[in-house]
Amino acid sequence: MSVLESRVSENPYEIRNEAHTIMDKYVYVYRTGTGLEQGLRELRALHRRAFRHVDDQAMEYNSNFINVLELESMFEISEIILVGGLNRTEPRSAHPRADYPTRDDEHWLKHTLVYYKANEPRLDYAPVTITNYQPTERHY
Amino acid sequence: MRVGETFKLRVRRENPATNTGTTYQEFDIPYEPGLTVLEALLHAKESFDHSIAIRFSCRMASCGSCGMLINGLPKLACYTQINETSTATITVDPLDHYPLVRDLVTDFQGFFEKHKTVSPFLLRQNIAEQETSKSEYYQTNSELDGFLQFSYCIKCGLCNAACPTMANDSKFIGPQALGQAYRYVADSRDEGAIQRLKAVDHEHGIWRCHFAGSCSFVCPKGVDPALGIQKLRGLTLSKSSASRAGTSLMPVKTK
Repeated sequence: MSVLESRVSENPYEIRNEAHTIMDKYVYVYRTGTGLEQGLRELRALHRRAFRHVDDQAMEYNSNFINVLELESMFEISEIILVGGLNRTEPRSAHPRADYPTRDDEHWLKHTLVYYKANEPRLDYAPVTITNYQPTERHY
Repeated sequence: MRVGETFKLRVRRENPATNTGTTYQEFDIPYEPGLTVLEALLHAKESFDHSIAIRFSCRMASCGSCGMLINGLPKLACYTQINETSTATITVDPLDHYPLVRDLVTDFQGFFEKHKTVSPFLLRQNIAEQETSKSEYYQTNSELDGFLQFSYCIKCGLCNAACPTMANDSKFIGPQALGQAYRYVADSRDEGAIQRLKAVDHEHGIWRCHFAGSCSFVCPKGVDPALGIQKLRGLTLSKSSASRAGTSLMPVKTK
């Protein structure tokens, strides 16, 4: 059944607000392994809720339809952020891990690649090409 | 209005494609300090009726998507706070002088077509030089001051919705495009003034404006299109003598 015909009852906009709250709480500035695991559990539970329906049945400028599709994509992207962050056991730029305070170039000087797979994303890694600027530790 | 109080938001609903007529729908919205009309509309959409059609993007008066009539005046919904309006009920309608898509969303296709007719980009005589330029084109502060305010246009179209001439003449180029014509004509780096003045020198161009000034009154970015149109008229009237002399159309500075 398409999302336009679905008749489930939960308000997708409220689900979106809850997803914001989860991401804000566990994945925002400071991250920890336990926090990210908890965030992933809560986000997956939220993703299973019955929000996939569109009240607006018009064929013209139907932003309700777009919003529901966007929410589905937000869940996928949020999961990628959570899983990628959980695996990277070091802090790096916008990913400060409170439980791993020191940057680890030996193991983690590499890009995280994420591929779509049913149920959960598949992770892979690619080497970093270093050109003019050598990686150094950041001091503030 | 205080926190905890609610106000009435009256939203015009209409879908021309289904021919179901025009209705107004009322919502009770809880007030909070700083609440904008756009946020109130999104509250209504997210909590009460998901089918309200609104166009918006940046929420900070820089994209120009959420223009609408708020208590009858063309305004940006994101740039109008609830406590700016003095009425207990706030009524929102789609912009005048644009075809209606649905509810508060209007069709800007014709608006952008008119904008294109004035070549809203730097024109240079030597195009090869422009395409391969090795440095910036220099400009003094006073040269910049000559057109700076016109460059703040965000193409929200409020001026065209306020313009009484747009209401009478659907072919009128309109204050937005004319203001932008002046923005480039007045730019010291631009060399396309003659071409641009030709594009606006006709009965649906600069001569149609009767200087109501409502375009400048409603502009949320402080642009004065009415002034630009008067300046274009002045330049057009002096065009022949200027081109004979082979000089710039802008006033020549005496040393």
